[in-house]
Amino acid sequence: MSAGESDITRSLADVTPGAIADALASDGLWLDLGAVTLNVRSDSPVLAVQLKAVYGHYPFIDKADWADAHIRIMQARGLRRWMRPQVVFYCDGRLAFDPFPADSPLPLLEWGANWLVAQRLNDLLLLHAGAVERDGFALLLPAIPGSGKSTLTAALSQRGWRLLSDEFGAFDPAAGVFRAMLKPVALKNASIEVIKDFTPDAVFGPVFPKTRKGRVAHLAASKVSVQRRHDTARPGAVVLPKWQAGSPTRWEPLAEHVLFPALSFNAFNYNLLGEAGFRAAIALVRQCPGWQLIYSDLDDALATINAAWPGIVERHAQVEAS
Amino acid sequence: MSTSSTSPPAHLLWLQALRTPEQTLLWTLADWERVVRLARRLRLLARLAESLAAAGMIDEVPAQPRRHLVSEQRLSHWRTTAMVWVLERVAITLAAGNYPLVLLKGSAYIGQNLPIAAGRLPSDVDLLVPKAHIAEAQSRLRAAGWLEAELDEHDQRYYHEWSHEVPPMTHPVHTMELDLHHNIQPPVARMRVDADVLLQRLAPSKWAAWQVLAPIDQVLHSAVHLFQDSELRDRLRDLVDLDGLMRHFSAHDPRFWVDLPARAAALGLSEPLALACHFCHQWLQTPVPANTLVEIEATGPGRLKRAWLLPLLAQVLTPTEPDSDPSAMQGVAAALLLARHHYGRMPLRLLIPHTWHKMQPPKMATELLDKP
Amino acid sequence: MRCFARVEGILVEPVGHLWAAFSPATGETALLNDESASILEVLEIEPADTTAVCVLLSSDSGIAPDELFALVDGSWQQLTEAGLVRELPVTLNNPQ
Repeated sequence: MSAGESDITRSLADVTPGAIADALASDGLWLDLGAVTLNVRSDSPVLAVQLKAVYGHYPFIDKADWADAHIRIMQARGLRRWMRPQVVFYCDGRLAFDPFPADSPLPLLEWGANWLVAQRLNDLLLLHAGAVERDGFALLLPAIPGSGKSTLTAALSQRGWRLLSDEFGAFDPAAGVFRAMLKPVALKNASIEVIKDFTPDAVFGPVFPKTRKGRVAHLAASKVSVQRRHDTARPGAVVLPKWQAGSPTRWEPLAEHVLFPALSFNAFNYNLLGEAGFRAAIALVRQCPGWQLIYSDLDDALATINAAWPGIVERHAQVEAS
Repeated sequence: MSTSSTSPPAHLLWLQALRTPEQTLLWTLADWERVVRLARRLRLLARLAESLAAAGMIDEVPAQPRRHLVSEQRLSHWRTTAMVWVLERVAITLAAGNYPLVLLKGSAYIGQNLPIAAGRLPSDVDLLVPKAHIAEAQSRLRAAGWLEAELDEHDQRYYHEWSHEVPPMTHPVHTMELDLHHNIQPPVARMRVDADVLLQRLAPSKWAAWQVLAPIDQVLHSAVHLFQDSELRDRLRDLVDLDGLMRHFSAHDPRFWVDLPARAAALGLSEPLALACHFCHQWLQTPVPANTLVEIEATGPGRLKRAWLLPLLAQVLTPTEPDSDPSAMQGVAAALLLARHHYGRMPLRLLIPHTWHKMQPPKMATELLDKP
Repeated sequence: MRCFARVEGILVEPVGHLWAAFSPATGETALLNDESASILEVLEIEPADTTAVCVLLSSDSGIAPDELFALVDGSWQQLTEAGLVRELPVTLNNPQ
């Protein structure tokens, strides 16, 4: 949706929770994430406040002509409503997921929206990766369990890198570029404190103490990331992070035969795209150098990436010139 | 009632775009948004995409809905490829047995390159083999790595004695489930069909190893599969399939409309055929000749039964609008039809133990209960 | 002897010291070692049986054909299941 956003468009931070709640209760709130637009409707009395916290820089849109996914987060009916209040997630009249406690509509929305996006945007190759941008090129951080991908993605996004997404490396094979699927970064357990220490003035939503995935909090995307969410990024490099307690920072190049499965088999819809997916993954492997980054110190990890980046950009420029 | 004067209910007009995609040129973005949402839920979005693609019109579609059409086309292509691959592998596994291997439903449509083969979303592969050979087929499949769900004794008995299919089989390497049938209707159903009668009239598919039911039998199978099912909500796609089958086969066989009611009567399937023709004609303008329609309706449910059954079916088959809640009436209608389904599927004396057994919680359920 | 042909339309690309092979029959991608990729390359010329493949690979690799036999013969099952080769004559799923 190419909204006519101008300097006078109010953001969610500029409006009252009441106004957000009114929108959620009527035609909905439209959230333009860049490559996809959501419409959210809800009767939850707390969602408006939670959205305002983590989507603060997004334009407040209560009327639009298109959404790619229509989500309803509704209070569960029946006796339970009084004994153990819950919220449920609907999309297009279908119930999806188990209910969440009524005070936790935000994580339900975030995970549910991720699930919908992963299912229905097969015009893109959706890598399961954090994605940030600098100098017009994308850095991909494939999500391997225990890699600390979200922590590193969050940290980069707070230190001069534009956040594209913490979950989806959304590659457009037709255009050969990465697109932003910009949402709050979901941080779990210890990562929450790590990032709060790393950037004391980072904007967080509430901490949800007892979700299925442990403690969860959402880091709001920066104003610049939100403003530039329609700007694409060329394939830059891939870094497989691995947090290891006490380890010195190690930066080791990855061979293509490690990089290819790390990108392709780890994507949400690689197989579904068939030949198009294969060709896209090969193209990415040919274009992007890859490294493994083993670290325990976040600052040092960032310094390592930042030191390597100009060389990466330079090599891309040389390839283009030739 | 002449075939050209009916027009579909307004909320179903969009279905015509499946056959005449040019009408999408008049759609607003809001129209597109509604159709994309409905069609996706009804498993017709890829069908619409293929219809537009065949007419060379995908590029005319506005960018926002177009990406959803392309996306769903890819999903359909992937699932169809997986199904065709399973058929290739299973044909090799079952080749040595000397009995017919019959494709059913979606596999059959794809195996005949029918117009309704485009844009399908198969999740399982339906096959038919003669009852006498089904145990042997299962054992060959098991040897090739296909696994059956673990069932307790009661469920095993249900499948072996009361059902027309064996428990679904899965394979570690294949995403598709295999549903092996020996009939198109359960042997204990009130609407029993003699499988041997079907097996006498098989037709070739595009693959040497696989055959399909005779065209009229495919129509009847589709009709009975829909109207004897327990869940009819969001089953509009099955009506679209029926319409497609009847249009295609009647165009290729001048005797189709004459033979169809006769064959239905011979198989005892006049009622589902009448219901199929009623809804296909009213909602999709299937060109059933007027006299055929009269004949079919005469052998279908009587006037009294039509008075309560047709509105129930209409209620349940009508898709709920994307932003509406399902009407309370639809829930009631669905419940009534569920009762009718069970009544039609198993004689009452068998029904009671089965229903009671099904209502017991499955073993290990406590591990599956979600703790908030 | 059993004769095998390359499945039409497969895509094979080198990735590091392995090969990525896409099969349009399965819709899936397999990672192959050099030996398997060589077998596929040999079949690009024409369908062949194990003996013929061994002879052709031998001239490339310098390894005696009978030393390669077990390796090649043992590869057919996996390559077939990955949708990269098909056994001939292909009677079962042939177009009529």
